[in-house]
Amino acid sequence: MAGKDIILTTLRDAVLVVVVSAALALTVNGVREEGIELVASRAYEVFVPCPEPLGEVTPVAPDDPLIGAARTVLVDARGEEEYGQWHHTGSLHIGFDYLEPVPMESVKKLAGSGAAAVVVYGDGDDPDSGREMARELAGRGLRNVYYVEGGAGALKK
Amino acid sequence: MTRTFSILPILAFFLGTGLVLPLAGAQTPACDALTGEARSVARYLVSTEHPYDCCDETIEKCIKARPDCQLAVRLADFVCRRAAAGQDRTTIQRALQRRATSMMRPGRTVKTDLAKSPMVGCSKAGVKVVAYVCLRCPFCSKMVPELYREVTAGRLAGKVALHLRLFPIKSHTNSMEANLAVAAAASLGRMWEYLLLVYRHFDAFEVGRLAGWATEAGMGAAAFEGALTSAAVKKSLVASKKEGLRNGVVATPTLFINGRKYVGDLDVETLVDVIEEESEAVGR
Repeated sequence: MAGKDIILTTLRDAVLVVVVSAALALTVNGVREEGIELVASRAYEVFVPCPEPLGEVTPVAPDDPLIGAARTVLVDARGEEEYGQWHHTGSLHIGFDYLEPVPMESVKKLAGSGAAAVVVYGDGDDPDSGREMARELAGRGLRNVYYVEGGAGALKK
Repeated sequence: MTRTFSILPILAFFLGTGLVLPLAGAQTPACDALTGEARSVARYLVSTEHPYDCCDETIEKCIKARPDCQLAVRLADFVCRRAAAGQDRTTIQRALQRRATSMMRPGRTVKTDLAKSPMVGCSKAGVKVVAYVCLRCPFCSKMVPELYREVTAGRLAGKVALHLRLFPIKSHTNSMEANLAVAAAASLGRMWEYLLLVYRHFDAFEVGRLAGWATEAGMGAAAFEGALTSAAVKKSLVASKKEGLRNGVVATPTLFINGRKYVGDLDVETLVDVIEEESEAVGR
């Protein structure tokens, strides 16, 4: 009998909480100047412009100590040929493509590297492939992504 | 006495629905058709907001005092269309701000390689619109055909040159293939026919159907295949994307009206309105 009472009391309290919460929510919504419509009077905007999935990145100078830091992964975003001709010591080559996304394996490799920062350098053009790759990596969830201002040309100097 | 009382509820009803409250000054079809809450939102805005050109008073006063200021009428209509669609005051105010940011002159302008971008409309028109689009962008698939219709046979015919630049969005599946196919069609002089066809089949898109649509759009299968694998075509697509990035494009569709980035609403009614506004401004 006691068990039945507990169940009934719990049920009653639950219903009470739901009813009071709903009443409070409806009252607040009713009072708000721009309350949410309870029944949609117009179609929702299904179509919205499509953003390129890019994140915020920070530029670093070519002589920034972050570039040579122990827990930094340095990425060369240029083409294979340019990388073959010259690259910064210890840099990892991930060629940037303006049309295709950075391969998922490369993103996973960087994410799982345990690095404190990812610094990307590119061709230094306008647009700079290093900056564009850094923005893409940041947009895909990597944190502390930087790019070298001026790209490979500035690094060589 | 009885008669006076019986009139009161009727008067109250009309006052409530806004039918007897004139939308002072804003004598435009969109505004005159408003009732109730929409009418009161529009009334507030036309009596407090100012046009960004041609007149320093509120929209309402400008319509009365400056009949030559066509922009005031356009803005009143802009406000009333939004109010009729159920938008609240803040949303409409933001839309007005974005429109002002886009249309105020001289504004920051960007460079676009118009020689390389396929054009439709009137090449000698004073208004050049450059649209960066992605072939796998659902929004573009609705906006571009509507804008094309307006430019070729609608309200914008003869008033604008519409240039198209491809800006493949990487997060769209098969974006590279679809955009490359359109770049190939452009190299064969069939861009618009092909692009409209690919957009028409947006929901049924498959890479395997691109070649069939090319034939449907009047291109030879071998020529299309050749263009599709051509290094020059791919290079032109990359150049288009790079140009977009240089110009600050981060989403599709992005429009530039006479070189100024347009950040306002992208529904076709507003686009027609702002392009007509630009056409009037360059004609002055």
